[in-house]
Amino acid sequence: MADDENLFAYAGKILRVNLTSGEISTDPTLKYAKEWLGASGMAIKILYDELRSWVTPYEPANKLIFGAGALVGTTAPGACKSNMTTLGPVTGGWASSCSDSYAGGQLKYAGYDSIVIEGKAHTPVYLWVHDESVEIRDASHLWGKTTWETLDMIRGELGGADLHAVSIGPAGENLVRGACITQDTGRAFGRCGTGAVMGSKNLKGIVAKGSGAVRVAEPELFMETVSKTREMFKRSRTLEGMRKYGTLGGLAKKQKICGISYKNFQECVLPDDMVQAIDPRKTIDTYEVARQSFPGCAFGCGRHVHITEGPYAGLKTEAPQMETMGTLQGRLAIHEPTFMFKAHAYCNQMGLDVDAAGGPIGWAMECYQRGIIDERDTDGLKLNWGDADVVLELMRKISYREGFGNILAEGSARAAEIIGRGSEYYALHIKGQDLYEPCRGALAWCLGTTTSTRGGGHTTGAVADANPDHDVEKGRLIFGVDNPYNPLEYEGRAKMVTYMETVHRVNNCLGICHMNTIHWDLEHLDLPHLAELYSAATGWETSVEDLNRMAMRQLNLEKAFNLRHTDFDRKDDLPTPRDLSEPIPTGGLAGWKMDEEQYNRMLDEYYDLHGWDRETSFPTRKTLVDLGLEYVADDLEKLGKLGSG
Amino acid sequence: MVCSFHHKGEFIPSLSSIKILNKENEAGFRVLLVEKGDERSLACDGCRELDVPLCMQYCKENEDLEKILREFLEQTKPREWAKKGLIGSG
Repeated sequence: MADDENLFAYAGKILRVNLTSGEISTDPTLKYAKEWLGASGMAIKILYDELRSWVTPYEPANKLIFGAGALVGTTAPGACKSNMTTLGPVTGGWASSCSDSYAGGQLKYAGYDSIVIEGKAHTPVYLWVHDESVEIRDASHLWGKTTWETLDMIRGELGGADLHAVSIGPAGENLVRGACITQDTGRAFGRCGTGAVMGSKNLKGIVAKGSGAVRVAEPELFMETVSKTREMFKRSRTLEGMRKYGTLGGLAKKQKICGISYKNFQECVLPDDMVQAIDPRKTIDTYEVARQSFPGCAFGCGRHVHITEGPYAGLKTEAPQMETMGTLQGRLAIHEPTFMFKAHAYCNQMGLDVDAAGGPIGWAMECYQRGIIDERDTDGLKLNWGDADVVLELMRKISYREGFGNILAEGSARAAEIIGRGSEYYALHIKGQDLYEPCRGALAWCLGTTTSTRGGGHTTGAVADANPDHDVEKGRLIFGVDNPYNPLEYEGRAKMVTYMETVHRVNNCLGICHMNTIHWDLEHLDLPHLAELYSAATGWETSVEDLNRMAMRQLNLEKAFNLRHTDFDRKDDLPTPRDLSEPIPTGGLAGWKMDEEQYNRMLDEYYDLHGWDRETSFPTRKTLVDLGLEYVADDLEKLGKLGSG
Repeated sequence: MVCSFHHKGEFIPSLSSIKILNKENEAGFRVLLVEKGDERSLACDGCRELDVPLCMQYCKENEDLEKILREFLEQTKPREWAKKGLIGSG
């Protein structure tokens, strides 16, 4: 069994880098691990305790924390995710994003669970972590390069063709609010603008390589548990589809449940002829050249393609996932089937979140359609739906903050504030972050998205309750509700979201890909399995109740962090005006409209389950004290943001 | 990861007998197996005590890996591993 001197599963150290002074130091991971689990959990604790309330996202005092999940570096199924957390420029509050990442695994083998970066380098730099050696290296020759060029140049410079990096592109350098951090050449720490924070620090990239070990406390038990959990995937009905096409295989299902945006959510299904034209399975079947996977993943959803025909002939890239198809191809009504591959590659190269492109461009195109803006606003561009060339040009302008792109680079919420003229209604965002998730017709999905502390996103509590293929009986057992997969019922949704908030946070802390868990398929890993894996790995006997408590503690700290840095309250946990007021126009759920009163009752139930004030959404003192966060209650009381009760 | 675990009871991919490397100038991976070990890598012993080598148990493309392993073991340890169903099978 582990004791304080023998820390298992974790690497053992948190690396601290001050880019202003060049100072490098370490902290013991044990200071945080037992109460905060790992990665995003440790990061919010560090941010809350160390950032003063007056710090803003682009100041040197802001901290960017790159952490590998607690089980990364082991064979736990799906243990390939790392996390970036910071005070973000999109919402002004908690910003956290995960990605598959080779660099995160290498960081652990080098001896570090996380890197906490503060300060600002005087000139562009990158970090090179190689076992005990940590260097802050000059990156002025890399500044301005795409992430793909950056990776090639770093590999050449450091003499390692198999080195892995996370880096920013021009979008991050130009402080585009939704800039992301790209992992190698594909996958990204997409949401929340972490790339812009990295750019504000003049930090171009982080490269890691380690030759050390990750040890588990009970090797035999751990491997037995791994074998047992990997066996579960053999019962999965979705595994083969995911292996072949990733989440892109889900287009037909999205159509059936009215779960895909068309023309900026004016419709919730795509026209039939468009579905036929763009079906990505055909493109993958035609152009696939190799598979892509990450260490430990139970199925491997990635594909590399080489497009040899059409307007993007010559393109070599990893295939996108559903988010790119939804937010760029469907939302902007583009019929060229290879467009999503081109847009995905471009966003990866520029380091631009696909939603930070699709959201503002969708807003702009709808405003153009409605005559709110015209060519005088758009640098002469005609923003007609379906024009792929215009979209790519706008993405370029956003990345370089050029002309109209400088407004779009602010995200649709701020862009609408700048333009005014009644354009605000068409800016679809949650807490300032551009929305990808269709929120009509799937109430647990909607509730989990709108209440998310990071500003929308479906990976911190949303439940795919509209998925018609889920096993209802199993869903009842897991979520403890009678009607788990009736997405139009308000009853029971709050309880489902509360459960999924724990699953998602535990995943993010342990570094487990959501797709390997019940987020995707009820036959995949659930909390009991994650507790078993974590217990055997660390030697710390951890129950599901322990995991739930740690996740709720993390959630409440995220909430308190937001309350300190923003003015979010109940109004920011509601769907967009469009989702609240417009019925689904066409498709299988045509005519269905959200009932605002019932939605608010559902939100009340959600707050009650969390011990938060119904009127304001603020946590109560009792809730925080019960979670061991009395000092946070004191802080919120001073701010006048403590919930009553 | 699992290869190093077989040898050392810990996850140390840098020491493993199997290396998964990027292909040069194209997408995809290539697999290298270590024949003679040194301080940086351990020699592949085909997981002699197991019916199926651990890497094959964990690999999602285990048909491809079996071909690579079979060729490697036939060339490097033919007599020792002739008993395993792996060699000459498939």
